[in-house]
Amino acid sequence: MSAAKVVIVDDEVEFASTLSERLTLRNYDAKAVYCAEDAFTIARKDQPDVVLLDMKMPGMSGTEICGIIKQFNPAIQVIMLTGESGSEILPEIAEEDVFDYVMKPVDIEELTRKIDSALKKAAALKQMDEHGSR
Amino acid sequence: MIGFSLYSILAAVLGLFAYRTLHQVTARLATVGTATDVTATFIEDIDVLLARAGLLILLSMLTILILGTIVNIKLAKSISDPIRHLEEVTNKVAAGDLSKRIDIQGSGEIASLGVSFNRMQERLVDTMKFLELANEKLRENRAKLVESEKLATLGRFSAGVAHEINNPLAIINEKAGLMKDYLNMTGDFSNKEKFLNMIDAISNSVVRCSTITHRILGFARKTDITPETINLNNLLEEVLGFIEKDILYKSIRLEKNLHKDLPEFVSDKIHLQQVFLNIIKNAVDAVEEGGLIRISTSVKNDNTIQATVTDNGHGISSDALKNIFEPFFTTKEKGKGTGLGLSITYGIIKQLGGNISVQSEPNRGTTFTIDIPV
Repeated sequence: MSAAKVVIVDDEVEFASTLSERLTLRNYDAKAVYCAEDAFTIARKDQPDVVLLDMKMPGMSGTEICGIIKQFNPAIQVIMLTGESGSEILPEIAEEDVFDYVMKPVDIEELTRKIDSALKKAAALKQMDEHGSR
Repeated sequence: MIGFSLYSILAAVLGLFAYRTLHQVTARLATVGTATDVTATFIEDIDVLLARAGLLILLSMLTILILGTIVNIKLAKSISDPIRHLEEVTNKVAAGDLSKRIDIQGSGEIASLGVSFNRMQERLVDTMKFLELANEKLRENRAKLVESEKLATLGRFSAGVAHEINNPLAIINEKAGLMKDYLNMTGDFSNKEKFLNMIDAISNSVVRCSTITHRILGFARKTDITPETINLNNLLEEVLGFIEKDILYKSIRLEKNLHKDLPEFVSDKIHLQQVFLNIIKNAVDAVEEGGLIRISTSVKNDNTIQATVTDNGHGISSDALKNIFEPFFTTKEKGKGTGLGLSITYGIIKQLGGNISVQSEPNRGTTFTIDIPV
């Protein structure tokens, strides 16, 4: 089975590229993009399994970007990266189909754990889809 | 008083007339005096009697005059004294001494004037008290307004700062993490252990900083109030859901004493969740394993509902209690608490127009009481 495709969307280049490198070291097929437009392109072309989305992007909020990505492919699982803690952002992300959130600075163990469960959900959805189309 | 003076003068004038008439009678008798001896003695006797009567009349006249004057003076005094007292008290009251009252003596018109005066005085004191209270309230509300405006400004400002700090922190964290990743993939070299330890120290410091930035970012979001209908009991259940794991993990006994017919009210839900999350989290941190936390809600009066969170944990010393709502004040170990939780809680409660107080005894436990306006 090929490595899971993970895309990091964050305007902080150093953060996104380093996190991408660390995920690659952990055997994910990770890529970093630094603006919403690139996120949409990569979501369409590369069909990633999981997208890590910064909540606060210039010009567009993470939840808005999430909504658009989900329109391209509802199977893509989105994990939000946020500076705020759970009880504060829960109401905001509850409106979108967000799989989970991770706080910045990121605890890599927590992040990979959440990516893995997101992958499981994505796989389950794919299987259901295949069954349905047969 | 004037009537009595007139009366005594009239009596004196009448007496004078009587005396003169008697004198004239005596003179007339003297002219017929020579007629006979018998009549002469008789007339002489009458003459003496008349003279005596005249003297008596004169004396009684004098007595009436003297008595009248004395009675007049007494009467005048009995009227002028209370008036002078009234004047004195009025002047003192006019000068601002509202504690002075009229001494009521007797029951006449002056006494009833005094009673009215005293009643007016009481009313004046009541009105003054009411005005003072209203003024105090006004001042308090203005201070509250200024406070909440300050809080909002502070919130926006610190959110900007926190956001700007949090992003580079995230970069430091990733860079340190990547360094560690590479070190772990590299074979042993001199000082490898030392490098790993230093990287851990960097990562731990990042965690310490981020607890603060997260709190401030959370706080800043809460400076704008979004009102919605709230049932406090449901809200508390939700909050308990957030920290269920901590409560289970420490095997804490949780006693809930929630008032069944708690009136619903309109307030900011997220704000209140944060308030109770902070307080209950503190209680969880304060108790030993198997400790007790009691949460109750009640109706305090028509305008206020009350929630209390009691724990039987280590308590707070009276010194620490004084500073408990100050920002960055913490009794927790370094790196364990930001010292922002309760100051944020306090700010939120004040902004919602409520009140928060704390009672604590070292080694016995702590009770937080929160009043929320409905």
